[in-house]
Amino acid sequence: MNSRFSSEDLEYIVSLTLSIAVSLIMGALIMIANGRSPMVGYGALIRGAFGGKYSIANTLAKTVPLALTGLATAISFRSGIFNIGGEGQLYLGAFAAAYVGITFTALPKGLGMLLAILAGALVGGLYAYVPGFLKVKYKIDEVITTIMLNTVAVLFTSYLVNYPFAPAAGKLNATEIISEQFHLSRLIRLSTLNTSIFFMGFIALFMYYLMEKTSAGYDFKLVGQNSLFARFGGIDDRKQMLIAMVISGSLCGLAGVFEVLGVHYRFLQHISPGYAWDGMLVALIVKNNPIGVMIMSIFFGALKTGSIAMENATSIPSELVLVIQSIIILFIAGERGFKDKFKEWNLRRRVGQKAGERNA
Amino acid sequence: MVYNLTKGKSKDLIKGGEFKMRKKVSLLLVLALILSMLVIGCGEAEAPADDEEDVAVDAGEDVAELSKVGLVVAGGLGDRSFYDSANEGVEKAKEDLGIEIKVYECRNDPSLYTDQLVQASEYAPIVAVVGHEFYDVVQEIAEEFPDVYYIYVDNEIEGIDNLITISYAENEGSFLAGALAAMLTEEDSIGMVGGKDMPVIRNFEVGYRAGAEYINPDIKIETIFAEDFEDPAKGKEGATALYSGGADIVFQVAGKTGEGVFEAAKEMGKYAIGVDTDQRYINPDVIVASMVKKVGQSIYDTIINIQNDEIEPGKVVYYGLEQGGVGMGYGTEDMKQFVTDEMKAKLDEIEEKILNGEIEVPAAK
Repeated sequence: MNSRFSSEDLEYIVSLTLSIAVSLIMGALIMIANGRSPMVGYGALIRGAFGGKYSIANTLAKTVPLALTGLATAISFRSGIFNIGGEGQLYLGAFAAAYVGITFTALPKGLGMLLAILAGALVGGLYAYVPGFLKVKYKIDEVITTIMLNTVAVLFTSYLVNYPFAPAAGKLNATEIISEQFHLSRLIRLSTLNTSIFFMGFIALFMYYLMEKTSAGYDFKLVGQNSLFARFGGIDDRKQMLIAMVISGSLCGLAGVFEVLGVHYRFLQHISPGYAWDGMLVALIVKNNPIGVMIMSIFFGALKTGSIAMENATSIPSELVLVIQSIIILFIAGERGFKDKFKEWNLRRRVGQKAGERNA
Repeated sequence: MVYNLTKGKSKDLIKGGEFKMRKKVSLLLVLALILSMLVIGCGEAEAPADDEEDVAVDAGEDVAELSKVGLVVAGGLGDRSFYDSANEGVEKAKEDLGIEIKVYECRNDPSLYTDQLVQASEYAPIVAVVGHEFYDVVQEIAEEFPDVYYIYVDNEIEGIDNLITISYAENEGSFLAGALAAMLTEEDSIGMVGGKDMPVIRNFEVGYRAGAEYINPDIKIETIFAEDFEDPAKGKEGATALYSGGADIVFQVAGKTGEGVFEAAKEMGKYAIGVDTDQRYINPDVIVASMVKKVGQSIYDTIINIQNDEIEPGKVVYYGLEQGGVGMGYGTEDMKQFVTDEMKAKLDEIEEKILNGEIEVPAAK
């Protein structure tokens, strides 16, 4: 166990835990300032997130898209190519799955589902390939192109669901319902938790294996840390970046696929409330570590479910959780600075003590 | 290039048969994992988890009293428009009928629709569901809670016994708004800022267009969709573009986004028409009138009907001009009046003609 974590990792875990603790305390202070009891508030939050089968199911259901987009961010950021276009890839991936689900209705269950999943991953990957290609070939900043492609994807799918694919029944901006055999089954009554959680688990294992246990994963990391160094070390850095980008896009596409196949059973015009952005926060908080992404996704999922339960039970606004999340991110962003300050202070104190001992 | 799916970072050091072997084994393992996951994914269908002990489904006890109402909104309160109108309806029911109410906001997050609706269904025997977005979710949940009455606003679903849907003739109300705009404009150019390009909003638009063209067939009408119901900045942007393009009156159909339209009108010295509630009070100097969609009133009426057991189960209730579900609002007496008595008379005449079928208002669904 000890050999698993380097001292740097341990330090990071400590600062992360501290950041979360401090942000929770700040959340408590805000509650007190508003005349609410933090015990009651956090109690309702925890009960809402983990109190019983139904609550846990809801928490896990919220985890799936976060984990996938979080892993997508992790692999691209680690490889030094910044995929900010997750939202667009998610939308197109989701639409592709819905398209398969309403078009190929004659396919048998397993095959059809596989096709829908592959279609979503492929479309997401391709949509990420474009900015990735522009980046490695023409050095066009991928941050800007991916952000802009988000809008393109969102508005394009919005056109599709309002005109060519508008449903016949119901005033809804969505596609038709995908045919029955494409539905991932729900696991707990009344909750939207579905079998996509198993797919997510597998994908997470695979990503962990790829990023941490293979030489390819090492290449990604090397390219991300210093692409020039990697190139002289014999790694085709451009290719690595492009591959990372495509994997990242596919994962975002998959996040969309599972929203369609497991939750809504059709593509909705605004299917994502910003999953890719939340996933990005998750990945940034844990410094693109795949295990960290999983843990953080569950934490964020719990915060989301819990905050809604808290709001319903105690009428403390669920936005409080956004404040807590933001404070965590603030601390993590300043982590190195804080750590250096602390170390310096600690060193001085020790030096002072030593000096004191000598004098005495 | 095939990746060396092997442990360690020393890919160039390990070579030979053993390594290839291990690589193949790893690949096989990965494949096996994929397949097993697929099997689990598909096979789980036969395991419906219908344990109910965790989920408190005790709606049955409360039904007799019908003294609680849960309001579930797709967006958030505070838009001074659509959702607030619904809230006013249940607030009024609370005051007049002495019932308890609770609001569940989904903040436009589709992942919360099911959760919030379930919460509301567990809380109250009457649940008002506001937003066309709930189309699938409300049908699913209504079947799970057969003892709860659902009042579903802004869509049309028939055939579920505990679900009453309310549909509004936005096009009829907007026809009046369009006619009024055409009478008031000095540039013969008017505009509309819509929240999103979607069926309900398009229904406003065709009515508005038809109404304006009824007064002045040559009028220029332009529509911009802000693609957002919650962002006043986008409403302001859209309205500014319309005003710069020559329009002097803009009809906002965009919820909270519409507040930006009012701001743009104020800054550019132009005029606006409000929506859903009588919005004149927000800024009586630029908001000349409002097209009112009485969401709150219809919910209030339906709650009373449910309590008196006077509902037709599984039916769509239509609220048009005839039922007083849509109409115009001119604010209060003490506000500066833009709409003259002649204009009001003309609008009354148009309303009459719509009611007796002389004018047929086009609809978009």
